[in-house]
Amino acid sequence: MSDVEAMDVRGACCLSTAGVSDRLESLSEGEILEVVLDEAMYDALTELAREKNCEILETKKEGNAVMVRLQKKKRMLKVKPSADYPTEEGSYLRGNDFSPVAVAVLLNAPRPLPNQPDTKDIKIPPEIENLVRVAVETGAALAGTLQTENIGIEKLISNVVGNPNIRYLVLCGAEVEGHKTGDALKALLKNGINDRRTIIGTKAPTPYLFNIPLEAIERFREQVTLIDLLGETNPEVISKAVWSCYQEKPVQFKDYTLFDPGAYPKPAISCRLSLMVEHPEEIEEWELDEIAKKIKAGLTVEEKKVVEKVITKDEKFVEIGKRLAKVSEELLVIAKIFMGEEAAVEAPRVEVTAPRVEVTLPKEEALSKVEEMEILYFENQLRGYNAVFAAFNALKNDMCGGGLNLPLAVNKAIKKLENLRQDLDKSPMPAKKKGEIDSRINNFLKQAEELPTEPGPCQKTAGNCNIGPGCFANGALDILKLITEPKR
Amino acid sequence: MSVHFKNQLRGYSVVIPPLQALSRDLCKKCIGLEGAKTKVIKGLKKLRMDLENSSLPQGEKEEVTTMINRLLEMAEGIDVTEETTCQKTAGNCKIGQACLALDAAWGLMKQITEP
Repeated sequence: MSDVEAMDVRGACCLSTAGVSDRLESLSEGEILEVVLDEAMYDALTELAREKNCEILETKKEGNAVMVRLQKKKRMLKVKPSADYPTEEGSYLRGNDFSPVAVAVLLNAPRPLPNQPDTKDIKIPPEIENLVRVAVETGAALAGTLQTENIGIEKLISNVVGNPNIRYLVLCGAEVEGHKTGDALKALLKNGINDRRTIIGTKAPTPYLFNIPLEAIERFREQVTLIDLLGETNPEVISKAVWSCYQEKPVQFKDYTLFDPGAYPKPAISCRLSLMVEHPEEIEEWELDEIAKKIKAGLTVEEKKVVEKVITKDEKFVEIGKRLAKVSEELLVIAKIFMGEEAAVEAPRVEVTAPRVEVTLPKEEALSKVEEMEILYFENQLRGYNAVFAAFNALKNDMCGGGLNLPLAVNKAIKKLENLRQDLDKSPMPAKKKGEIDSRINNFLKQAEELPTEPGPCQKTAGNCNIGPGCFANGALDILKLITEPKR
Repeated sequence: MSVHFKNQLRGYSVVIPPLQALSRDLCKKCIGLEGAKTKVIKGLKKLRMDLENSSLPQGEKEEVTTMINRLLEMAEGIDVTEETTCQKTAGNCKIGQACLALDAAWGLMKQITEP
């Protein structure tokens, strides 16, 4: 507990002559000075406190006197990041290293292809790029995009723990569909990971952190506070959040009270991804124990995939051309040997270039937004039926073929397809497209004719199907429920 | 044949054809289908390992192995492009939040809860 020293300066004409000024100057960190003074001198004391870099902890009025407790303002600790900070490459901008805030903007965009590992090749939508830029320009230490719930988060952790000045992480942008990266990051900070290196309590499909030391994960969770702006894409809001994080005095931002608390009081951690598991998205749940064991033992978990260079058709033609040219040169040499110099007429040089393929697409009339959505609706439905009927056809050869639920499911699918056709008739889409979709509906209805539609005995009650309460036929029909857009 | 192996084989027999059908769709270029294909292949290999360690009579083991191998061949034949990317994030797949390949395949396998 801090010592409290008291000074009673009631009746004094000036705080300096009463010794308050000197005492405030000489106060050391943690010491508390209690000053009792006339009410009329209070404003002068607050001004003096500001000059001497002191803060008022408490003020109490007692009649015409005021009791004020003061202490020296704590110096804010800032440190240098690790020498190799930021350790991981990625799509981010580096700002002020002493800023207490980093910004992760979720990225819904195609990931780089294996033959384009350079992140510069990722096409980042301009609005996302703008958010990243705004965050750094407002004062963030790092701001970048975040796409995957495993390697992406690992890179983020690696870069953040390299700079102890970073105490806040602003998460913004629309959730990454298919990855649920925002949900995974929130769950990581809230719950951490389990002993199978899986983020606890997230909906993300493969939230595995295999490539980063446990120490870095724990540090990350301790070092930063999440400012959850998941779904937020307004640059002004992001900018306000960043600004709030580096204020000396606490400010209110949404439900957060924010200020710069100074650096995390432990040294930076410098780490890089081990890439023991380069494709965490391919890992099955039943493999997790084994992988965790191997990571602990420091073994390589998966063999690195060798990406073979893809040779395009044009490249093949050029290659063949080069070889033919070489053959012709050699034939010329042989001709000279057999027929003498006079016959050595220079053989024509074969030059082969890839043929230019020009495709002229038929001109189509531009579709209205309504028509586009109509087409998308029917196309999406048919994508679903494609999978449903493939499953039905497989089940026909299973015991389900003579059972109860497959015929019921088939009959339901037929009804749905007939409804779909009625909807199609009323649809405002162009007649040509309507005809195409109608023919695809007919194709499915034709397939349905080959499927069982007369219900037989339930194979579960007959004791033949022992898979549990579930049903393959109903499961197959439920594939249609996966299609939720566009709504009609 | 033990109920476990029988059920698993029935499951994979139903799962693979929809994935084949989806490989003729835009899913062919999708990481979702690639992932579903990998899951099926890994699942079948795991089943084969479990079979080797099981106490099933040799004759039955051979019968199940043949079926697993046939399914593996089918799964490996699912046509996926060499380079895949999530078609949702690429802006091509607009069916909603679900993934036809992953969710359909696992929706079907999840029907099996016994033994």
